[in-house]
Amino acid sequence: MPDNRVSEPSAKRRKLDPSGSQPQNQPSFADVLQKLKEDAGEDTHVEGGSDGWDRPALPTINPKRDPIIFQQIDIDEATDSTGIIVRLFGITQEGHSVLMNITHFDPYFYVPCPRGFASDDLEPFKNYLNEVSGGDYVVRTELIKKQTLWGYKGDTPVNFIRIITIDARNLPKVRDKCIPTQCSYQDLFGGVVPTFESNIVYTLRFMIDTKVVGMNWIEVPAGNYTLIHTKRSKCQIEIFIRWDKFISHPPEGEWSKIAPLRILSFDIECAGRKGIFPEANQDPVIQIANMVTRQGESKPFVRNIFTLNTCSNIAGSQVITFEEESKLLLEWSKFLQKVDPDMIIGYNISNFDLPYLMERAKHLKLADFPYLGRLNTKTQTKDTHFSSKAYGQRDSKETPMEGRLQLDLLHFMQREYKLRSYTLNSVCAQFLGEQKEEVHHSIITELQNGTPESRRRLAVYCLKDAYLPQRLMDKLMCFINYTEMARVTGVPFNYLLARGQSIKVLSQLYRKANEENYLIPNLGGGGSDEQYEGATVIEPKKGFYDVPIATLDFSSLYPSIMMAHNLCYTTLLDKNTVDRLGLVKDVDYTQTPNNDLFVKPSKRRGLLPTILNDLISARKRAKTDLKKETDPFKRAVLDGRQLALKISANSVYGFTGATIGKLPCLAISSSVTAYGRTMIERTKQEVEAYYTIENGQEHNADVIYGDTDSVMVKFGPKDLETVMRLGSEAADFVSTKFERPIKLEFEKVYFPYLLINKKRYAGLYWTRPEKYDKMDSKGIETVRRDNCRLVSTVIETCLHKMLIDRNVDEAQAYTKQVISELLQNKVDMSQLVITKALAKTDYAGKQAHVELATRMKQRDAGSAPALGDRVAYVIIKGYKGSAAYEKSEDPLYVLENNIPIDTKYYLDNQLAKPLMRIFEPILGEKASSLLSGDHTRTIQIATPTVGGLMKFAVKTRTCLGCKTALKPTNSIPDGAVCHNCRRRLPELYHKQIKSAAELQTRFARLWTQCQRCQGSLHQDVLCTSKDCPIFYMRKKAQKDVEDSNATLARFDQELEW
Amino acid sequence: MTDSTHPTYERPSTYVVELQEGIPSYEIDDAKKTYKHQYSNIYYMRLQLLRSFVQTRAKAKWKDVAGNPPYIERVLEVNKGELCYIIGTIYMEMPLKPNVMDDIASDLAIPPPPPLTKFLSSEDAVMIEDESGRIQLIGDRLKKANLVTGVIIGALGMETSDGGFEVADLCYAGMPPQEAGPDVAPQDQGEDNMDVDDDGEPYELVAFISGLSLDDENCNDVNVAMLAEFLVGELDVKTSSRISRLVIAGNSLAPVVLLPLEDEETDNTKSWKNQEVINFSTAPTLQLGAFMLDIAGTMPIHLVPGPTDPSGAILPQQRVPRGMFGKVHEYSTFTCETNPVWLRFATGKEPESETETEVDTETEGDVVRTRWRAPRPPPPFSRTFLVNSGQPLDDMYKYVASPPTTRIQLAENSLRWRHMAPTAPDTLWCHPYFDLEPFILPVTPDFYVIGNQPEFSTKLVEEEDESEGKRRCRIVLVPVFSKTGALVLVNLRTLEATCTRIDTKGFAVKEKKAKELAEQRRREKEQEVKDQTEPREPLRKSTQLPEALLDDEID
Repeated sequence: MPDNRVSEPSAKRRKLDPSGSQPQNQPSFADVLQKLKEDAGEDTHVEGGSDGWDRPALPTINPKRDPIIFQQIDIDEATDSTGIIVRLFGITQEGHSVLMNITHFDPYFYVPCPRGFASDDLEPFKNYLNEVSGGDYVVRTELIKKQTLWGYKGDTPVNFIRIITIDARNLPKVRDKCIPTQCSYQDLFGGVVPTFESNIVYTLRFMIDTKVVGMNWIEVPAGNYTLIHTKRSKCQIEIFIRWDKFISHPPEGEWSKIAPLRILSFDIECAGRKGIFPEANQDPVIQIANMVTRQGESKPFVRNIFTLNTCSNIAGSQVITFEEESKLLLEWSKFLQKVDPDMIIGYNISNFDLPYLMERAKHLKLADFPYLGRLNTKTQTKDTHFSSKAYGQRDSKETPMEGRLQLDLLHFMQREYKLRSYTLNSVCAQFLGEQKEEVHHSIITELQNGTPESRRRLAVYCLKDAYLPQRLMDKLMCFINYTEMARVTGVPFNYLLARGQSIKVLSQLYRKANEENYLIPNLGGGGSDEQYEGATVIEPKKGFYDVPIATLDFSSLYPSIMMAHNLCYTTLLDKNTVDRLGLVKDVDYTQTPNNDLFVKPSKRRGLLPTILNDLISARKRAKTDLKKETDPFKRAVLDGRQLALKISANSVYGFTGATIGKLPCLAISSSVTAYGRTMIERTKQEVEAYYTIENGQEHNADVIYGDTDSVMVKFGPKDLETVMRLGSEAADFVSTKFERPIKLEFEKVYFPYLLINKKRYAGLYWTRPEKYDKMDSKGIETVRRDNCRLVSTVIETCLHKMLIDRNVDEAQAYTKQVISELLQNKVDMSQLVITKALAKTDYAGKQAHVELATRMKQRDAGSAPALGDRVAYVIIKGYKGSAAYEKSEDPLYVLENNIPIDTKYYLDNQLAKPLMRIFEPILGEKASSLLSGDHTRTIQIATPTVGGLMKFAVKTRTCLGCKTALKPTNSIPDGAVCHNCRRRLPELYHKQIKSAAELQTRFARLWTQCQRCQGSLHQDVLCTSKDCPIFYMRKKAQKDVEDSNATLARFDQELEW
Repeated sequence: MTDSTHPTYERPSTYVVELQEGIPSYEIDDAKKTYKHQYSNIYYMRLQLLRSFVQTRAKAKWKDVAGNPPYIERVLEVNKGELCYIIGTIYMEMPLKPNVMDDIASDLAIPPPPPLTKFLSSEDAVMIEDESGRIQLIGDRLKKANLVTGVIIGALGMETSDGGFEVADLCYAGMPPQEAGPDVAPQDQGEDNMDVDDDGEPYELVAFISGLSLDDENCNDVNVAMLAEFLVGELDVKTSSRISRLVIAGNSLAPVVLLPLEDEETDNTKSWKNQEVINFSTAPTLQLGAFMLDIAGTMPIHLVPGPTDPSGAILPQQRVPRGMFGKVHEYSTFTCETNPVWLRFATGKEPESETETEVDTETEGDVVRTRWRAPRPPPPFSRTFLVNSGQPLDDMYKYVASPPTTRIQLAENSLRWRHMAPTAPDTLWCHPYFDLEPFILPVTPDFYVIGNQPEFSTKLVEEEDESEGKRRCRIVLVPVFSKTGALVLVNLRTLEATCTRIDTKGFAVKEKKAKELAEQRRREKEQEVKDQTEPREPLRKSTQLPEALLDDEID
């Protein structure tokens, strides 16, 4: 420790040190007092921002003179006496809330105009429609020249009839009843009549027509609106306006800013009963913690907690205590209305906190509670079902609050990240780098029933849970990225979590199509399950490559294929049209490798290629701006935008292939993948043909693997620089063989590279020759949740040793050592714990965690996991032939009772496969010796203290020197060694005390860490977070150090050393 | 031995006397050895025990402050904007404190980076905590205070609008009481001038060494041999003949280096042989035994264990079994002590132990036999020592900026805080005591001796106030012998302390001559840099998963 010897003054006779306890520097003390008085100022009794609930007061508005400019955040529709209205909610730059009621925007759709239908027919046709549908639904019909989006039929626009209805809800009646099958008007319509643009949501229709995109800024010019004085909502400004009288600003330049939205992050605690997950009709809500932050600020300006029963002060937060739960809930509802958040976030609020509050309020018959939105309407919780090809199915609950955005961080995490565990604890550990104390819900009730201090403890915990979602959101930039996504794709913010990918593409398609005079057909959904061939994979040449492997990537492969070959709905040809218009192959149209026909851009530029081109050039712009921008907030916005643009460009292809989507067109999607396949093959051929010894190169290039949009090339040379040069050359060379804008790019080199199988590889990732960027691994399942931690530790360490240390021998040695330690029971228990959520009680098959939960309930119903809890277990040795599910056991029980672990299970079922995967490419056949060599010979089994024979077993002590059983004849009673080993006592003691010292340190470090994490020195650690690696370790440390002490005590008996 | 050949230099005697009441023993008996308790109990006890002392002093200190600030009993009950004072435990929130989570999260087989020498960073926060909760302390006053986790303080100030507590002044528990003893004021000249050529005035010295750091290489180190010769009086008989006893303050052995096991004797096969394999050298232990044997015939030895010695890793370190060191254990003059340890030495010859006689007295015909204890002649002189091997100070040192703060200042603070190891258990590992807080100072010792320090330093600290009267304590930082070749001699009568260097030519020289010193320090620094850059445990083979994580603190 060099620091320690920095010159210490040797003066030994100094006056008392100023840091001593004598009061000194009185003047500065007075200064401080002064400063404190100033600081305290007016907010003497304001704790946790209790004076900041209200929005800033609204100055008087003169509709004749004052424009209203706001960022709109939410949109919905309603019907009132004047007809259908659209409601836009938003916030001004000054933080005032706005509700804009928009009138006179009538819903409509189109049908193709049949031959013989003339403008005189419009009025009778309207009457006909109203008659058939049984109401005055249709306001007006008109003729309009448009083209269908689907297929190239020549360039002449044709007539369509636009049918304008009175109400969005009645539009489907007209559409479904009158048009498709039974339209017998004048017998002009033969057979099935297709409809156009008839299945788009009314609000989205409105946004498209008025060029409003999600989260953009709206300007209402002075004189164009009327101010409402008897308001129907809780918004500060409420206006009426005609739909064509306002300005929608594209989110560019100045208008890319974000208004100071109020974001409420909250968390509730309920007092559950032992062993039962809280139920709203029984268990009270005892605390609600709230944090309100203004978007763009780093700290919440309101921090408070509503508690049932008294609670000690919490510095920096307002504690609001209640004697009755119903009062608490009602006051919280009032708080919410007063603080009027624009956005509500939390962790699992959609499925737990909000529904629980709603149900609880219902149970307590609190009629005034459920008014949480901005309108004076009752809030209700609904069950929703979400199904998407990309995100799978999910049943969830939804509690819509008009005018407020909701973002459940749990949903966000599940959607955007693939994680081992989605508990708030493990998400925070991963993204915020900190563990969170976890208080089990059975302890919550105990704390609640304790003292004001114990409730305070709970409150601090609850406040932390309310704050973490906000921090996560800031850290992961969820809000900004989603805002940009809404702006780029044009859909409302709330769609992003609630809906799938396709609505975003559809919104862009409509906008572009309408601009270009196309109409989008309603294909009626349904859809087939038709499959088509996916991307191609060049069969991997498995192995461990100790030379640089260059990776050539097609940048945005699918979008550029669509652009290069003009693949679009609007360019799709059929044979008839080719014949009818006399088109010439390769001049007027192309035939794709999938044998579909598309016209060339010279005939018609496709809409999708145009959209893609816009997206990609917009992304380029955003990236250029990003490089120039220095303001961190604007950088965040730009980065969010370029990401949103990239995702959008890539989802267009998926949209055309979504067979249950709105507008599937397999001709497009199959052609895209077909092109992709040929391009990968072609690249392989070109590279392998050009880079040969015959052509003057030093080595023959070898394409060892290729997948979707990249190929891995082994050029041969051993140095990175050469390979990087070759890679970039080859990319340029191959790019010339393809149509623009398809471009092969050289991005990175893997060196070394471990190719395990299709989509499974690992390597060091280099983009410059000086230093590798990172270790990259794909498809090596270290994050699977039903694996124990040991698997990922071992695999990661092995990869590290192979790739970074470049030492395969050491990786093998390490693996052998871990296996040997595993078999000898030396691996820490926390490494072996497997966790699974107890989602429901009636699983079809028998499952380890369910069985264990049942057994634990029999042992102690109080501490047993309840529904919704995560069950942690280890696999223990069972009797011969017992099934895996019977061998699960509570890790704590195992620790306490020394129950032997089934180490063989861990070797065979957990470690073996992943290990073989990474070692086989290197060692080939020999790899299996890792699992069965000498190092697997020694097996130690813990001596259990419970069960079967143990009741009859007598423990014999053995000599610590030679392991001989100690008997009265060869040793001192309770001593450490036999007489023969007595001379070795000093060294044996030394060894024993050394290991005891390690265990002591371990104990101390683990428990003090938990103390730090819980944020209190004076209170015992209560945390039971099973996701935290410390949890089992600290239990084990406690036991180990006591065992070690017991062994040391034996030396005390040895009097004569 | 010198006594016989040089009768003019008769070695003075001192003997161990019983400690004052209230001074704890650091021996943990079997009943207390349990690890079932959590560390919160220690903090609880500490706050309970020290709060009243702080409060008494705070009351006196701030009684004249305008507005008569009240004492708020719970830190959370302070009112915003109201001047008041609170008492609680300091917690330093420092991101650079070693975090066991980092070690767990990182790859297990990859050695962790060497431990940091400082926790200090710009993101630190000072918290004050009691049973009710914690609140952040803010303000410039804190910068000068050199606070560390675990100190009990009183803070005068007020809560600001953002929930922090702006501190105007601080108050500590102050130095504990001291038994009014014979107070021989140190002579006014500096300690360096303490005259070894005494002028006939008798005086007794106690020698302190620490950090012999015996390992396989320096087993036959000439410096250690010289040290032994010096102590028994073969080199500088004038000085050494005044030394009445030796205290070894820790780290007699260097950190254990594991030897590679023979290949065929790896973990997997050794169990057949059934012999417990010792994979480190036992030579240093034997050498230490031999060293002490050389001396034990001349003067008593107290062996205090340090972090690298065969004792536990957490405080208090327990006695090393005497049997560890071979023949020296036969000497009654050889004692193994705990770390830390309180010792009290009296001057003169120990009175005969047979002071009890039985006396028959006849009272009204009954013969009553009573045991009569002859009044022990009061020792002419006794001094109380508090000795530790340096861990508490080393740990506190990581919390503060240095310069300006020096180790001696911290040691002094520790006395004024009335606590010798405040950072335990937060960053200094200690036993999970349940109903005891043995690191609180019950009395002010005459000498506070701290071993294994980079260099010698000493200071006489005094305090006088109404509640506890006058106290004074000589703080002595004992340098690492293996790096400085120096030992420290303290004078029981004058409370003086001097550092004496054994140079390789075999002469004891007093530490002087700035030039030489500077040169010496430069060399040491180079050596340290070298030590740090070299692999810490080049021979270690075991990478056993869990244990390997925690090596830092053990070494």
